[in-house]
Amino acid sequence: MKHLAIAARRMSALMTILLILSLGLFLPPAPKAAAYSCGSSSDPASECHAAATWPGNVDGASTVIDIVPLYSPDGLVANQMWLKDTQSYGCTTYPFCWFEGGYAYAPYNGYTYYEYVAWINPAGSPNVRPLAALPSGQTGTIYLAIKRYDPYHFNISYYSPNYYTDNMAVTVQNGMSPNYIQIGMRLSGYGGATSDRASFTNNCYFVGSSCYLQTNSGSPASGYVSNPPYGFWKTQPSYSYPGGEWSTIVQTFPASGGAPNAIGYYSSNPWGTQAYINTANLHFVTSLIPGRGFE
Amino acid sequence: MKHHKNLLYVGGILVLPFALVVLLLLQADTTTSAVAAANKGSANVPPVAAQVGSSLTPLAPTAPPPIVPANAAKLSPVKGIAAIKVTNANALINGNGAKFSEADVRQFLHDHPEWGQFKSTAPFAIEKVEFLTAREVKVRINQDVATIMGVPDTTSFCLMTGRGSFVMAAGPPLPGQPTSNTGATFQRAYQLYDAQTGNLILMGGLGN
Repeated sequence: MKHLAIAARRMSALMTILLILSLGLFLPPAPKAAAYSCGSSSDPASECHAAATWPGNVDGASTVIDIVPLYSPDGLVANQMWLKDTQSYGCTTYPFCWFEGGYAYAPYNGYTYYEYVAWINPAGSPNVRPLAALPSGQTGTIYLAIKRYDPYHFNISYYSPNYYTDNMAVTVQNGMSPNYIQIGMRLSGYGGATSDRASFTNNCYFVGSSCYLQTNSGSPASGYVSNPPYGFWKTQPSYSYPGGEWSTIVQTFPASGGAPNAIGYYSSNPWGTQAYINTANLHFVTSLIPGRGFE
Repeated sequence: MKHHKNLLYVGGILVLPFALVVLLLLQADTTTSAVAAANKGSANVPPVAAQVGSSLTPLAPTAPPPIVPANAAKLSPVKGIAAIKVTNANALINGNGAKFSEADVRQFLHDHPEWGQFKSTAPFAIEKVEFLTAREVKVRINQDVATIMGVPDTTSFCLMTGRGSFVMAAGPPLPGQPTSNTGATFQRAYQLYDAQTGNLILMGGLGN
């Protein structure tokens, strides 16, 4: 009798395993490497973005950006802030005038993962200041503030675990009066880019030397999002510190699985858009809900 | 006694809403004054207008000061990213304070023609490689390198100027603007290296 019970238990366990294996046959197939069209080195018009935008005259802007791994095999991927001017003398026609800063994985000396600030002023010359290389695996946050001292001088503050500069002075010929703030991710290339999710918090605009929290989600409210890169308000802007949390991510499953920092891929299936997160061989599925982030 | 208590409750109910209204009016007045003061500014500063969607409402809280990293004081103001390899760390080449030569620069650019943020849409040709002080660089590229880097204007740099076809992308489209991002185009560009480390510390476009 006892032997019979043991045999029955073993049979039951075997059946359970067989059932699980057979169910696996009906799981959706693993998607192929996602492709996108975000511009090659000879096609600058197609760069892709996931950005939130606030229009309005300001004296500057600041944000706190998560440092996350970025990778692209054939282009640039960056998390950054833009401060644009479309109204000053010499800035009224496209591509306008602007400041930008953040960190990027970009083609230079092969490829380099680095922190930077840049500006293009009414005199028409763009300038990029690479601040420092980011060590692989660097974590933490970057505080970036760009503010007007007077129409011809702007101060840039950049604090990160890897680099620190306070009030770096930049002169702009003919003067600038910013009237747009944008935060988010930019991407160029055709496929294989990966990143972890990065948050932009403490988003504020300067009036004089005071920085006020952004209390709405900007215009358009859901941001300008190319998909990829993906962007969404994980936490809606509010009056309480640290305000809204704009999140960016680009994930594509590498064709050969050899890319560093690869953490998963996106796919569209009958159940909607899903992100498959691959963490040390552990696969689990999570839903990407527009405007609500990962759930 | 009980009668007095009731009177106090009734009085409180009547007075509280009035006090709240007064408080709100006072706050609005203070913050309006703050924006007005900001608007006043110098004659060159354009007035600060309220942002669309009331994001620039005067009642928005100010952000607390950022936390400065503990190791901030140890970090050098001029760092940049790795570029030219220093070939002679112990000697000054050309008597200009640089620890690499023009040939090193040309070899690096031959091996690595990438331009980081810029899109180089055609092969570029090196116009000139010069070893200059910050003061001299300012004249060449119209950028106050000494101020930007926080160094004396006698500091040595290496400037490479090139000719080709370059684009700097203009970022995400603005509301009402076309989504196509043709960016800012220019035919002449530069890369500026730290003469001591060979690091790239600035690059940009030049007048055509």
